[in-house]
Amino acid sequence: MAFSVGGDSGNQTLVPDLTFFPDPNVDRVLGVVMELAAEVYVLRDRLHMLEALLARSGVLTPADLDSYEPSEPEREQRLAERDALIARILAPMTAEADSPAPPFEPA
Amino acid sequence: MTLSSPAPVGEDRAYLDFVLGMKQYFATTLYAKLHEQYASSGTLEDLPAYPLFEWLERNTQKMMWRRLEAMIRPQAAELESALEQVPERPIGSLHLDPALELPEYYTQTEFHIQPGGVWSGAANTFVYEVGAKIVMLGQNDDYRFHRLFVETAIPRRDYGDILDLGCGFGKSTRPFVDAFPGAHVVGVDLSAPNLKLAHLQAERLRKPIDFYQRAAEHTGFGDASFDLVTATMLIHEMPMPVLRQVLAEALRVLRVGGLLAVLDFAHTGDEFRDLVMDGHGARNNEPYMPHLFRTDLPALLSDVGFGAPEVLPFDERGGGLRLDGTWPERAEWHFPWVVIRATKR
Repeated sequence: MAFSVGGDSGNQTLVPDLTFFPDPNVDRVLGVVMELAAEVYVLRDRLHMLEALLARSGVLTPADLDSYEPSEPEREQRLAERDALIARILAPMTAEADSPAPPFEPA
Repeated sequence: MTLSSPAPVGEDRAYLDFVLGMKQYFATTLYAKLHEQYASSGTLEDLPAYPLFEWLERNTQKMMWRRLEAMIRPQAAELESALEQVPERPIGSLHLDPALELPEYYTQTEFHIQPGGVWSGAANTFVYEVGAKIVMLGQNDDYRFHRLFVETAIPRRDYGDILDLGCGFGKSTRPFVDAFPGAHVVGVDLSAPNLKLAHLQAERLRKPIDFYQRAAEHTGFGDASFDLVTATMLIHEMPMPVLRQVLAEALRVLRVGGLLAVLDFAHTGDEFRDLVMDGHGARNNEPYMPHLFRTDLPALLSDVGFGAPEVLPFDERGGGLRLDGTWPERAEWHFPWVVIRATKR
């Protein structure tokens, strides 16, 4: 749908957008992936600024972050989160339904 | 109230940086890969890198406009009222025509994939202004290529009256005031929001320009009123019958000996580059661009009645107009800029 800032072009017809890959689902999924990649970059940029500002105001230095030693429970927690993230990201690719659809009988 | 086009900051800047990074990848790494694949096999459509190339060309545009809109939306009301300011002691003028019927070829196409075009909402012109500044792969600082066009492609003459067709928000028009301070400079465009912004910016920068809401194909000016008629990135956005009308209109309003000078795009003669560019129109919502590429412009200009038609390459990152007719050696994807000139006999 055409959105315009405070205006309306009248071009409100919903039509499928152009696709370029042999399977149009690739076009859509790539849209999701690149949107996430952009967000990752935005977060990295934000984090970098945060670290720079903390360093500038003397709260900590970049070396403090790099040399930070998490406690054993902290590290275990991080690694568990990492494993869960990897599993979540790749789950759709294994095509194994974690909640199988019930057998369906047409009425 | 000041008229300020919001520059992207913070997360918006980071997001747009990323999108521009995607565009750079498209224009350099991926274009080179595609070229390599094309050299060793046949048709463009079958090359493994082509779907991604096409996808990036379209979707980086969409990502950019979506973000700019989201950025400007919260300020839309404020910007819209800023657009209604009346400058004190204006040195130029603004002439809007609320009754002007916008042509279908203009309203039915969201050019460059900007949602709503540049005309349907007042704040759209700000979205366009910010987008235009960053879209040229981030290299469009202060619209350098407009100045380069005026400085290298417009012969130094004592122009009395200059007309800029499809002037948008005035970025193509203002350099003519700088280069020819004695001339009376006029801009026409279809979009009222564009023209309001053009007028306010021109007044803010103290550049005397008269802006009119009129179509390039029906400017309403008298016969033989101008010494120079120009248009920048306009003629690839119109159907061929309209282009013919625009050229005929330019001829009509020019004085004898007057010059038509247009900055636009054309085929380069590089088979691969041209083939890739043929698909740009469809991918970037510029449906008439492929037709322009198939048009013999010198023949069309002669047919309309112009003399001495010429089409010369233009290097927007180097020295501008290339009088020897050769294209610059460039490995990356780039817009195939040309200068089209002809004289009223």
